[in-house]
Amino acid sequence: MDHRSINAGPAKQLNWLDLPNDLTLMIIEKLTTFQILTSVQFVCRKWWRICMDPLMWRTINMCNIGIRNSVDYKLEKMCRHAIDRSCGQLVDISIEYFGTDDLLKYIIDSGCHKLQRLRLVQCFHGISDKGLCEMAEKLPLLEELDITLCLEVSSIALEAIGRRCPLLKSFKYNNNAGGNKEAFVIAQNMSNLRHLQLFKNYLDNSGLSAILDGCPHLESLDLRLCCHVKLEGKLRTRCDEQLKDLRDPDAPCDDFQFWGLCFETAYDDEVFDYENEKRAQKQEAQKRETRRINSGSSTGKKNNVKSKSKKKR
Amino acid sequence: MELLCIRQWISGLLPTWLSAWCIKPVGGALVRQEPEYILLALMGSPLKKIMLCSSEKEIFSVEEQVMVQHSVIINNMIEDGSYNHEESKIPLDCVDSKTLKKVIDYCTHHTHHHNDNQEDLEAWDAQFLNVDSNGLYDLLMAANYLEIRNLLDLIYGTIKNMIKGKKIDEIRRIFNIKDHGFTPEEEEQNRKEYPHFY
Repeated sequence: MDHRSINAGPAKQLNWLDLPNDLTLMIIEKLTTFQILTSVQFVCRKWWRICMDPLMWRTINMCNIGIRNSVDYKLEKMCRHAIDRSCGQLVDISIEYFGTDDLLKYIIDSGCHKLQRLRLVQCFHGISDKGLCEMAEKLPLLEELDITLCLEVSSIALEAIGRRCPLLKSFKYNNNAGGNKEAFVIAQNMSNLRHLQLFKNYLDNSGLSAILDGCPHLESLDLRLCCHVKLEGKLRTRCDEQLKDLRDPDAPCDDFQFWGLCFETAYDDEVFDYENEKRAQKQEAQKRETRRINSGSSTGKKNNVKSKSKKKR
Repeated sequence: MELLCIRQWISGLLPTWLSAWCIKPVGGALVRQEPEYILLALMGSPLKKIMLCSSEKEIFSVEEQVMVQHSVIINNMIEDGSYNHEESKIPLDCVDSKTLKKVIDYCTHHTHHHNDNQEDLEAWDAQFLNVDSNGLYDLLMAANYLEIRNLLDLIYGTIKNMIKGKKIDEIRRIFNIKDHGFTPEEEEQNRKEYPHFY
């Protein structure tokens, strides 16, 4: 570490490039992946080099970037860069919107077998059972898994994950779908669970009992909006005794991040927005390409560009 | 000198298992503390002061407990006995007087006001870090050298907020980075790829 004597002379202009690398890394690490990959790494060569350090890429968080940015920027390409830079040291990754089976395969093929925490949020139709099953084979250290609004993921994937990831302690399955089938699979295959969230799931009391039987270490359980669960009598007592933290089906939902966006009656809007924006972007790109090809031959056609509705999140 | 003898005497009287229960905050983390120190503190021993010497050879006197609680380096120096209360001062050649005074202010405030509510502490911290970027740089280097964890985290957070949401050219201005070090071709390519961030 650089122990130069520092004299704060009155008019001295410090060059922050003189800051030791380990301190600069501590600062940059606190910024989001998106900020690092779009701004911070381009500030100067020294910061670029620090942003190449695998230590900085143990955690990759590509959530909360917004629909606009998610559509405008090649987030999947950025994410792949970040995964490359982790050099297999990736421990924690969160992906929103742009998750696909190919991306999951990329994570595994890049040697990231130490992954402990995986969040797949609002990937809608990009991620399927097949992708998750193949991924689960190579993630023996997985401890936390969050599958929220990845509509193609069903009990098949859950079973594979449960079998291949014996250390799984925290599981969230918020697909506005699923019922007793998923509950039984969880009960049979995820016996080490401490925390379980099944927001707006359609399981009933028998599914819940199975979970309580099959997951003896369960400490917290979130059953908000599970309208078929009737917590009363013996079942209620059992929950109160076994669990430290229980969210009833009718507990308030305001601290659930995706409540206002997706789980109300108008949740299709979010999918609609994102897919619509993506489609519009693609059409725009195709039109540009057509114009470019035609520009040499015909006289300038009048550009009839449809204006996209930019709905900000 | 007499403190060392008292310490040894007390330590001889106390059962060894007691040390497993004695922990104290140091530099923002909790570390094992010899029970005899805790006992002395409980007995209300007079507030021991230590001397810190800045790079400009100015001496600052500060309560030992205050510095020991926050700075891992100073805590280690005192614990391993390399600091003699009667004669020594701790030389801190890397820290100038202005910065050292600020560091001492921070540690003193947080020791004496650690029971205050979170909002008040945060407001005080915000006011404390309301310095120019030179001052912030010096504080960062000092906090790093003295290993004061909570001050370091506070400064990292502040600098992070200075970068967050800013365009690249602006970040370069704020941090006085005149020569970014990229070749003209690289710089051009980067600007083409993410024009909105420059």
